[in-house]
Amino acid sequence: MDLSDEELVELSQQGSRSAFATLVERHKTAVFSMACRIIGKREDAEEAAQDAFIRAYRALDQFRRDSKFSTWLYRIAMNVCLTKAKQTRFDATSIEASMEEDEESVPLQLPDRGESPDRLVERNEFRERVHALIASLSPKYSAVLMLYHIQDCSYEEISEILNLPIGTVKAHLFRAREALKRRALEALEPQELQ
Amino acid sequence: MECRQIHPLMHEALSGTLVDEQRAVLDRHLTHCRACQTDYTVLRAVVQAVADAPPLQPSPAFTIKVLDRLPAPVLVFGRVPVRVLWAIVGVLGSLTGTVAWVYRTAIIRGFQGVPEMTAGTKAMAAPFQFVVNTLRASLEGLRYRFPVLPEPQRLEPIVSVLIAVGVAFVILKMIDGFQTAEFESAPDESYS
Repeated sequence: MDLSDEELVELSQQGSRSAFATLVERHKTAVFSMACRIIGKREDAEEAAQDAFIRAYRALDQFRRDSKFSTWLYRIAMNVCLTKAKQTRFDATSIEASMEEDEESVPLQLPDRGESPDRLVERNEFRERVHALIASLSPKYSAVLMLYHIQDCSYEEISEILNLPIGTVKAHLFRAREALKRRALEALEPQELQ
Repeated sequence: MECRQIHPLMHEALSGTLVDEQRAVLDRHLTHCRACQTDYTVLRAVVQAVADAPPLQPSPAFTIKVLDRLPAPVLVFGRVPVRVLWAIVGVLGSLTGTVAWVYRTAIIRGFQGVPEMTAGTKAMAAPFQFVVNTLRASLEGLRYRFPVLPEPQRLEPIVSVLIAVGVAFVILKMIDGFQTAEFESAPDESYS
């Protein structure tokens, strides 16, 4: 029988490790994916994801059922990942500086090459490049981008997870997309746009 | 409308939060601005690529590693939560300390050879008397070395409570030692 997250949390609170193991199995892919996309390095991401689950386990008593377990878990995971990213991403400062430049620059105007890049998204190399570039963004932007587009979280949920006002969440999302687009295009060979 | 003003509308469109009026403005601009048209297409492509990002799998031993790193056993004897046991031990420890303090005079007199005590009772009480005597001697020794300390009689209640808590702690550690790992190899499928 499939138990809900909340039922598993209740069993875990009563001390069942099997129930908690099921929660880990259920959410490990999402948490690890987020960690990987924010931190960039697989080994560090795995460690951060483990830390997130252990912190969640320690804090199970504090889980209030006014939000979904996944939202609560993602909040813990995000805190761990953002802290880890600050420690491990040696180029974080330059990324931040680059983001500031991105924000102040004018919208990108692509040269007219006669053909639309509609088929870009169909190209595997373009998609892979974009996926790799997510981790090169500022961690806070990677986080918002993933929560919105990959985890399908609403603005309200992201606001709760990252403890940010909804307006800031929207602004982060705007800047994250713009920065990602700019970097993706910078990485493309000119002929790829033709 | 300028291209710069159109950009936020592109993002609203991608988020699905564009109202009809704004949609009309965006569409109108895109029909005659080739640069924005291309920009919007690339932006959509990027967002689509992000949304298509495949889930990443952690190592196969991920769950085991997490469980190995979990703090102390949650259940004692497989069913009593540790925090419940701690509460019981704490209450019992405090009660023991209080009772020992309240009846300390009677207890000590009892061990000092009340005539009606039988030989068997005296024999059973002897170890306790030995402990009490040793404790008193130690307290006297401490006071001799550190004259600022209060008289032994005033220290006795504190020592009684400390002993009770210490005994409780040892008992708890012994129980922990017998705790078996509930989850040793792989998560069972009972909840999935």
